[in-house]
Amino acid sequence: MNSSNSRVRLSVVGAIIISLFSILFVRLWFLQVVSPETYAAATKANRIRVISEPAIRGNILDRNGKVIVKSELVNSVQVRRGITEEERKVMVPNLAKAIGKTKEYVNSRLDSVKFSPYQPVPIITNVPYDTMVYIKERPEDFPRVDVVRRSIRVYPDGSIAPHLLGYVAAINKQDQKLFPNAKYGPEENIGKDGVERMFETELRGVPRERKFEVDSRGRLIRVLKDRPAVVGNDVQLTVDLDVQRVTQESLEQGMRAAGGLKNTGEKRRYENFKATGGAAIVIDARDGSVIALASAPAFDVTRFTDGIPIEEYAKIKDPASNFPLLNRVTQGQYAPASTWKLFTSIAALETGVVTPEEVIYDRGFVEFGNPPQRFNNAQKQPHGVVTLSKALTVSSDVYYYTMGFRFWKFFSNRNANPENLAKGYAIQNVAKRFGFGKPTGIGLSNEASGRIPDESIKIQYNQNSPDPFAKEWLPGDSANLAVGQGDLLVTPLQEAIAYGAFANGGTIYSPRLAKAILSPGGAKILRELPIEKRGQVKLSAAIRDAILPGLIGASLPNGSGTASAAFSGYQGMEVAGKTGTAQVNNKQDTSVYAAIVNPNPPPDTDQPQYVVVVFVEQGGFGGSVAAPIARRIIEALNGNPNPASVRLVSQRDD
Amino acid sequence: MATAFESIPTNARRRRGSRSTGVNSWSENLDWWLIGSVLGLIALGFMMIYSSSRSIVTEDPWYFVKRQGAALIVSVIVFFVIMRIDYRRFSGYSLAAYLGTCIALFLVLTPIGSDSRGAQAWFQLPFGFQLQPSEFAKVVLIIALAGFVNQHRGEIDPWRLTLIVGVALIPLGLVQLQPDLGTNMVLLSMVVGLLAVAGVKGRYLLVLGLLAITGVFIIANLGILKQYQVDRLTVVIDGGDKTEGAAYNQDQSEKTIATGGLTGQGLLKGPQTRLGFVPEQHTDFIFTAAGEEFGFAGTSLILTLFAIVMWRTWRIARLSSDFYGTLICSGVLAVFAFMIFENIGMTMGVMPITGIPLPFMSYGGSSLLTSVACIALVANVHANRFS
Repeated sequence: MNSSNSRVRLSVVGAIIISLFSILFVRLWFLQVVSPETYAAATKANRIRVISEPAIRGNILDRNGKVIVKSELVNSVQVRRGITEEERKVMVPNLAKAIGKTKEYVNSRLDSVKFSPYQPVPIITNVPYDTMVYIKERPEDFPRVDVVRRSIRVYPDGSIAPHLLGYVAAINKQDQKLFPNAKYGPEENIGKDGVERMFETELRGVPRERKFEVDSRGRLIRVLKDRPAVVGNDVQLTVDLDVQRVTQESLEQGMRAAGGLKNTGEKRRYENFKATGGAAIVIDARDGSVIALASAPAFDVTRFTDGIPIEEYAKIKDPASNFPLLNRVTQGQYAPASTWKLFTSIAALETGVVTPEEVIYDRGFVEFGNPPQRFNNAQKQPHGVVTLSKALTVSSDVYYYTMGFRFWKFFSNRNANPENLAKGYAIQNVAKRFGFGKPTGIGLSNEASGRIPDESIKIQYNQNSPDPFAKEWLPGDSANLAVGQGDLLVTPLQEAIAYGAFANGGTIYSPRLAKAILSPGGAKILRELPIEKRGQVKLSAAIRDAILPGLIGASLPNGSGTASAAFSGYQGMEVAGKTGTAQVNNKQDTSVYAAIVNPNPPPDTDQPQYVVVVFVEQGGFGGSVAAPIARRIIEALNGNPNPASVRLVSQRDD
Repeated sequence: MATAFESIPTNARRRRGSRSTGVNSWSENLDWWLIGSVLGLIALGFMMIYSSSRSIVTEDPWYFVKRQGAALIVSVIVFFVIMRIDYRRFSGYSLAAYLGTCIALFLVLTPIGSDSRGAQAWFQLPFGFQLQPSEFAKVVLIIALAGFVNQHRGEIDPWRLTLIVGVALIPLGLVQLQPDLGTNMVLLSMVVGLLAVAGVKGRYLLVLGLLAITGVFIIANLGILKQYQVDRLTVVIDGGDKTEGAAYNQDQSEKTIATGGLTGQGLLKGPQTRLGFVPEQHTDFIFTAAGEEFGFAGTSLILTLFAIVMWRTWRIARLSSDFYGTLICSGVLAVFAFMIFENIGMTMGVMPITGIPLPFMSYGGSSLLTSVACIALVANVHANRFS
């Protein structure tokens, strides 16, 4: 080995070292000079902890300012993080005993991954004052346990309008997506449904936000920022607390009573009614305000204040409970039965297939087609000579089947004259104008659309049917549609809005749940929530005047109407209401009632005008169950906050 | 006894072409570029140790600085001791030094040694000091292997090569039993550096390199390594979960260096350093503290100082009066080059984490002592370059 060879090799080693150092220099340049900003943000997040404490949530008030939901500070037990094994051994049995829970319960809370690792673990909300004192006096028995004040939802009148209010519960991922710009803590409560969800941003307020600098072990170094909380705004609903309470009660009373009623109908005779579900809605016909909304069975919203126990939630979800979470007012879809005759009447008068004065003889049935097919009245009862008005009052199916056939004739001749199709589909067209077949836009989740049947719907639904008639619009379809049966489906809310449009002369309102946003404590109005018109229906005064007496007759106290018995002895604002009894495959009949309260207020007065709609699934005749429920609600609208209990009517007529 | 001090005046005289008065002049005997850079690095190291360790022992923020100061005093003494002996005399002690190191490395594995941070690598000394024989193995193996290679210069055939590698493998194996992969990689690079300069044929080196890489893979996959060591090695390749373990360490380290920017946050003002977000920041990750607090200005100063140390060592290797001195300097060069690149590289995410300290700067007495001893060897070669 000569020395020049060794020198060459040393030079190679030197070159390798130079290249290694160059790599380091370049990497340093990149890290520290080219792109330090992106890293700076990352390290900042490292040592800055933001702790947010929810503000006190705003109240929800009724239309008169009465509190339906408020927030209250309660004593809540929580355990600080960083507990040692020894501390835990001491604390868990003591705490379990003090709060009356099992050790397993306390341990499961402590070990739950649901809670933030930086914040104390909430163990139980709302402990009595004595428990708080007991725990606070014995810190050695309860290491790391704190009793703090926390805000929870309180319902002074119990579970009022749960389907309308919704509830609050810990936020989840889907909720977070709906409010992408709002920062929520990992276990912060959020409005889950109903008004609590719709007005979440108003009710929530602004959380207290504290920024801390911490070291790598999470120890506090200094407070960087402390922004105080801003209490949430109040929301004033259009709901009237008293009417709402009466509505809920009445629906439940009526359904319970229906369970004691024997079915006298043709099918499933002599069973008791099951009354598996019901819906009741009251709106102000003048502006679409929702005065009361009840769906039964209901859930107890007060059970949701501190996280509903799993077994209780499982029971709610059990089909045997008939789906209490379902809001049947907006999500229930039913055949409206004879209450639909209002819209058939409008269609018939507008197209001129009948005049108010035309007399039709009702023998209890009508035959149509070749070979003739027989269509019966309920109970095959004959009504004799009927005009439009009487047909509504006594609910003559024969009259409306006849209307249906007249429409169908236009439909069958639709190719002869382009106007015939419009006349053939006159009921469907009226229904569309009055808002059926699409959601009303109330803002509550998963509102149903309902269904207005026509030939295209039949084709769509019976695509794979081998029966050629399944895809054709037949006379029977027109006849069934005329009496609110067949493939027709409406939601109680759609029905109420449409009846309201008839009552107010043709304005379709969007249902309105809230009147105003108020400053915390309701001191001042921050924002009035507008009345929204969704459409204006052409409704001639002549047609309205021709139809209304029939509806008034149907509910006339001590009269001959189908709801007369239900309104026996009633005094108060005039009621124009129609009963309905819908036949449902494999189920007992749906009991329906829809009414306009104060249909003809004197002009230039601001007398109220309401619409009340009641549906009871498997409840029997409209006049025997739904109408008596509605009557009690109407008593409340007349200013009686505690009307006599619902008295069902034993009736054999629709 | 022919000490370095006796020969130095001669060198000086020859160099200046005039007779010296015989007074020992340090300024003439030392490579001040080398010594100055090393002193600068040590000073920066002390600052960073204070900055990054003062919050660890809350009662005494100077705790780690004091202990490092004690190690520095010992190191200075060792420096002078080594300087007083002509390096050529070390050659005769190669075998004894080699055997002594092997025995120490064996003893540390017995109950005499103690376990810390997952490796059986320390002897417990009084006053809470610890001795890490694998650190000293670096110095001793440089001397021993340089002596061995020097005896066979110019005739390193495959047989002798195998012998040399075999000689190196015994301490390597003992270190691996601790286990300490990082130190072994340093030792390996030293062996390769020595052999390269010694004139081993390129293809032998290539074979050796491939064998080394295969060896590391086998060690990583045979379960000899502890899981955390495998994680550290693989984290650079696969990224890993940046919230914990090695990936967290590296991720935090990179971010911390980046926040220093051009001029840094200022001494004692780096939030990441002050709040202890980078684990092992006063030891293996000391460079991140400097990166955050002094910025690019400070880190490039550190790199420059290291570069000067490399340059002067390389230069001394070339100017050495004999091949043995060249080999010693080459060994030191390889050891430092690898340690610096590996350590700084791992803090910036270009190398895996292997637990190698940064020479002169990381907290740790054994490490400082070893680094200073290496520099003493180089300075010794420099001082005797004309004799």
